[in-house]
Amino acid sequence: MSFEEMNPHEFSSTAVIDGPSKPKPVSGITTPTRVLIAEDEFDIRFATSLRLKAAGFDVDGVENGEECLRRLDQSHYDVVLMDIRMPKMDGLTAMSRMSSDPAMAHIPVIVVSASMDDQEHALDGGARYFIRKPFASESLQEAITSACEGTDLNR
Amino acid sequence: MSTVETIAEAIQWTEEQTPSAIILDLNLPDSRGFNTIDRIRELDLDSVIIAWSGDADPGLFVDAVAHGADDFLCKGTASAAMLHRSVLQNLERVKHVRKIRKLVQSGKRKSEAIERQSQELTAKNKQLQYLYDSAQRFVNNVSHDLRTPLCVIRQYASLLADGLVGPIQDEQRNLLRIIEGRVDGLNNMVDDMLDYSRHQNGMLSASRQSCDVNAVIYRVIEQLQNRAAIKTTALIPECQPNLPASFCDVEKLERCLLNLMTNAIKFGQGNEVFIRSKRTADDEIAIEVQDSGSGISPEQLQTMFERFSRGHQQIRSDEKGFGLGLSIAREFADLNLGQLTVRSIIDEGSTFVCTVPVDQRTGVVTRHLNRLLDDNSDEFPVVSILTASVDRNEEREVDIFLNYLLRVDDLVYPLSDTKWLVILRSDERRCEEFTRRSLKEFNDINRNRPQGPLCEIDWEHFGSAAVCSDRIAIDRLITKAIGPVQCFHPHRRKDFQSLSLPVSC
Repeated sequence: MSFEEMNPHEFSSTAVIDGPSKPKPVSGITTPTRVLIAEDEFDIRFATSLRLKAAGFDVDGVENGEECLRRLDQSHYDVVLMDIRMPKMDGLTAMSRMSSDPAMAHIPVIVVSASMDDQEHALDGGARYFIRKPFASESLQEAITSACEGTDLNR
Repeated sequence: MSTVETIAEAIQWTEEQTPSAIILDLNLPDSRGFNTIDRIRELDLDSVIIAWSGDADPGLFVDAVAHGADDFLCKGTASAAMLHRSVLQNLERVKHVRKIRKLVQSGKRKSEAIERQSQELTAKNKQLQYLYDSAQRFVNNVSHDLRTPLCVIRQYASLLADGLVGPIQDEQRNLLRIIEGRVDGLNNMVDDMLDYSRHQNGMLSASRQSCDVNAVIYRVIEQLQNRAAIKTTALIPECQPNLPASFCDVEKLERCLLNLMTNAIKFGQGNEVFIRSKRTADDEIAIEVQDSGSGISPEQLQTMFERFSRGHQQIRSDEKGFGLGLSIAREFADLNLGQLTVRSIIDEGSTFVCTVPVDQRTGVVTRHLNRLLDDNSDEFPVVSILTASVDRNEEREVDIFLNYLLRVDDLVYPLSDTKWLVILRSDERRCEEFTRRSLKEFNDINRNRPQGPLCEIDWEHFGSAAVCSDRIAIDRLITKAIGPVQCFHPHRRKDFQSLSLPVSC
């Protein structure tokens, strides 16, 4: 089986179970924080999800904005990591759809993009934070934790 | 002088010659009243017309002139002398009128030409803006496309190194950390591509801070060990102990030295490469990179430096080996308020010398102002002196923000943990624009700051002055801003000898 064919979720769950993993509680809630990654690049989605699972997050991945909305419609997520440039529906469009849907408007979005030019658009579009690729895993986790805590406070 | 009796004869006469002056009776057998003047004026002659009538009504004068006569005389009261004088006066006047008309016409032609040129310029500017925008877009796209694979490589290396996909040995981990480090370096180079386009805008800036030059040298050697080993080249540091701290952009210094060392390894023919640090002046540290390669010919040296001279913005990489790496090294040495020079002897080798300032306020400020003077422009640059203060120490955060805010020709120097001296290359008016922009950027930064907002920055503006060899005005402003300072000693005196300066500055 080539690397491309591996299912990131199967692969990472085995690895994470082997490794030192514990659920990451947020503001007294004991269930792990649920993160949805919208990213068209397989490797980045895979590596990010592996890294976050190792840190105790519950992670799912989708390939574009359309799928992201569908997934958000189906189940609950605490935070969305959103790429900007994606096929079918880009991150900015997905964010604007989210903000006009009362069921999704409260979910914090962290935009992760390779282009600094996206920062302003992302923040204007309602993103909680902007992180530029490549990023250190610590800064991503810090942003996720902070974004989720912000949501809890607002509730 | 000729005489005719009717307007018809007059018209016929003017077909063959142009009179200088026409004395015109308003009542002729074939024409009466002001119509007579109109008919002569219709001929579009340049002649003086003196209307002439038996009627003494003073109101007629005004009407006659309105119809195009230059003067009006009454037959009954005008003497021959008056008539004579009127003719002479008006001839003179017409001569001036002609001159004025000519001037007006040429002015009109010139203004039309200017209008045309301005339209052409507008069109050309539009075209340039378009080209510039598309170049900018291109750089942005390329850098985006390069960052994506870099992100993947960095993430995988870091996952492997952290043992998240299986157990790993220390040696393997070390190599993976090197990959991470090199990816960060490569990512910096992508930033440089963007920086280069920013450089053309004067937007490229340096984030200078107090740093240990010897530590940078050891870091550079560490990064190049593998490459040197392949070429069986030994990298030999000879660092002066107890060097004072330098004030420079560490990343840029590191890049500068990396590029110089890479060249030395490349052209050093497997011999040793020395890297030395030493204090060469009160306010200066020099770093030498010496190879024992084939050397650079005087001609090549000259073109190298012509190409890299300041003001020559084009970075070319067509010359084998001495391309982008050396130009960036030079650019960064300049950004670090130092210089990059080279000595070379054929068959003996080359020594590149990069200087950086000692972390000492007066020296740094002087170098900064000298750097502005080195600019090829004819006018003296104007700078504004400001201070930025905060009410609590945010480690390096505010410092980083200030450095981010400033452009290549500005300087920010920390006076304490909570106060900075800022020298902006701008006049009073642009200073206000700067404060507005800084507020906007401040708000933008705070929107994207998980750890909470940065503390408010309090700006104080102490005035603006032109930079010239006589630093009294700027000294006075800085004194006003931060208290008594010692007089600045120009570091590169030759700069001032070659300038012809106004008496007061």
